[in-house]
Amino acid sequence: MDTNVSTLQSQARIQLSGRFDFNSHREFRDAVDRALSSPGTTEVAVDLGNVAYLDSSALGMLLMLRDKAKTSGKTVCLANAKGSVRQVLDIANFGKLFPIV
Amino acid sequence: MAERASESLFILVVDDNPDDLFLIRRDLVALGHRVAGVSTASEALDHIARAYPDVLMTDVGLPGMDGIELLQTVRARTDGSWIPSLVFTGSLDEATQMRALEAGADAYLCKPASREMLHAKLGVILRLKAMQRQAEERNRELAHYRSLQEEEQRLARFVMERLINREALGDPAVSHFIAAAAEFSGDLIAAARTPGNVLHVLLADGAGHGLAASLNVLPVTAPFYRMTERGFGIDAIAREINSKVRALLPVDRFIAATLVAVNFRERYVTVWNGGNPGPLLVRPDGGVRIHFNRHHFPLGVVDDDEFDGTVDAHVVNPHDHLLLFSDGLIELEDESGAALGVDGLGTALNGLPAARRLPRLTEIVHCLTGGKPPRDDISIAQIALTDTPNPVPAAPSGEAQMPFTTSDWRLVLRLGATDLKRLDAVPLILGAIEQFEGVRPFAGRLFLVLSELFNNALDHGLLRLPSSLKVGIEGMDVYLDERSRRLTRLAVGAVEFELTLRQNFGQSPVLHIGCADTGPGFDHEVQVQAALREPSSEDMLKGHGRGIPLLLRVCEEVRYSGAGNRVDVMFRLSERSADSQK
Repeated sequence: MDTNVSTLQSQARIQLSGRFDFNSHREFRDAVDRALSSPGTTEVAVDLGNVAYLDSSALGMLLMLRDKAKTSGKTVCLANAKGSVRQVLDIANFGKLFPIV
Repeated sequence: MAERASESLFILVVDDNPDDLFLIRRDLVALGHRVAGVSTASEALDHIARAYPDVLMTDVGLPGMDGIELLQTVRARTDGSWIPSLVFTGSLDEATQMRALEAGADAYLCKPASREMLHAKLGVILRLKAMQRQAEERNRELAHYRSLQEEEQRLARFVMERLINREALGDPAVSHFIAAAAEFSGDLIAAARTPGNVLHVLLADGAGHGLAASLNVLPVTAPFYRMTERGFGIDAIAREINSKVRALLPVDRFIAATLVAVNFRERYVTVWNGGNPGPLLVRPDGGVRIHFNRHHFPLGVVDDDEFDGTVDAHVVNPHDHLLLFSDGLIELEDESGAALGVDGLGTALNGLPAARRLPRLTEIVHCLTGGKPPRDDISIAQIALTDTPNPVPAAPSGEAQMPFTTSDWRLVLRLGATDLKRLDAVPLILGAIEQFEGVRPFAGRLFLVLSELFNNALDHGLLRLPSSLKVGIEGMDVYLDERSRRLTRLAVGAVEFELTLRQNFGQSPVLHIGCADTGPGFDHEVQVQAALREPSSEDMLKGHGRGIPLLLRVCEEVRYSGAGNRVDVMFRLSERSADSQK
């Protein structure tokens, strides 16, 4: 999985591409640390538009991000989830935990 | 002048020239090493056979076997361990150097060598030895970790197999299939029956896979078995497991779980599903009748106050089957990368009788994974909804007669509207009275009696639900929906239980259970009279009026009083409470 972190005004955007699964642990954690430490941001958006596959470990990582963001007073939203990725989020009812935009 | 070496080595020197041997020995001893000197290769081999030196130093030109053949022989004989070796000679020709290196020499020295050069060359060998020791140390550590891990895996596998293959999974109504992505499956299937013969099945899928995921699912089994044994509903069990997982596992670990309860007697199922694909109700011809698609959070994601225990209830045809599965099944992909999906699963099942479904699904899994371990754990459970022959738990066997005791207790419990909404009264009472001497063997039958009394008091007494709601194919759904609506709105009212153990000398003790509610009561005389007659097939079809006959069968005496809002039953703690049903 590849990650790219960019910041636009108050939003840090983590763009993911490829397979988001248990092998992506380190990349995702690094991206999260970068996104949360960029100054002046109040929201972290995880862009799943180019994610082909997402497993339960990935859902766990999103929960971890939500937890970390909460302790630093920031919010998290998920963007561009579609197809099977969207389905996995729906099955786990994640729409109630994260705004899905 | 060279310093003394940091480490004293035992060095075997082979040289047929006594003068050279003398000089080298002198220099080596001066550097702080211990030396054994021999003049032929065969003497050297004899020496090595008795004790390995730290370093072997040999001249090339020797009578008989030369120095290089000696190195080759030593190498062959000391297979696996390494004796650092240094070759010295008067000539510097390249061919000899090549032969020496190919034979395994670690350093090369020209005679005559200064003491400084000798020291430096031995330094090279010492560094090599240090690296060698480090590598051996690491290998030993790795081997140690490996054996430790193998032992731990063996233990973990043993525990997991015990947990998964508990006798409960031998339940005749449940068949299952698990394919693990790693050696350990993060999926788990468990089944158990409540004292009232309601079958509970749990299919859990821990986040990730392998041993870690396998450990994740451990906290779910104990509450599942313990609470089922006590007769709690699946909503209460799901809530309890959610709290356990939340408390025990880190935030990124959670468990997708499907819990179903099959009430064979009343012919309905309830489903709670969090994080798994919704289960399917499958018709006898393999067609999908219902896809339960309410999605709660997986277990361990939210705190107790956000937990939603809403279950879906549905009346079932006893010839239908319920199919539970983890996401690993529907996420299986074909060569083009298209996932099987719930639709693909439905297509695969269509036209298949129950007995052929699991074998067919096993085939599909095998085909789509090419026989390799799947990417994610896959588990499937199929539950037959056919009534089991004996809905009343078997009478306790053996020492079933409660012996005469001086036990003398009374328990009164009153639940008001607020507590009725959130507490499971029957497991609560049963949990308490089981502690008294001799009560436990009768827990199954007492569960039935208490459940009947409580359900009648709450459903009909306080909530005023007419049994007629249960009639018809959608009846039980309508009934349960209406029940939960009215319970939410219930503002006043109470149910009171009073349990007293009564002793008569020479007879087995009797448990007197009184149950009263604050509702307006009912026409008990008509219903009791009706129940005393053999139930007609019409009554059975109507699906109600079953409660009173059951009480009459299990208890010695059933007496209604007041306006019909108080009932007293006598339950004898002996075999006779079982005989009376005949």
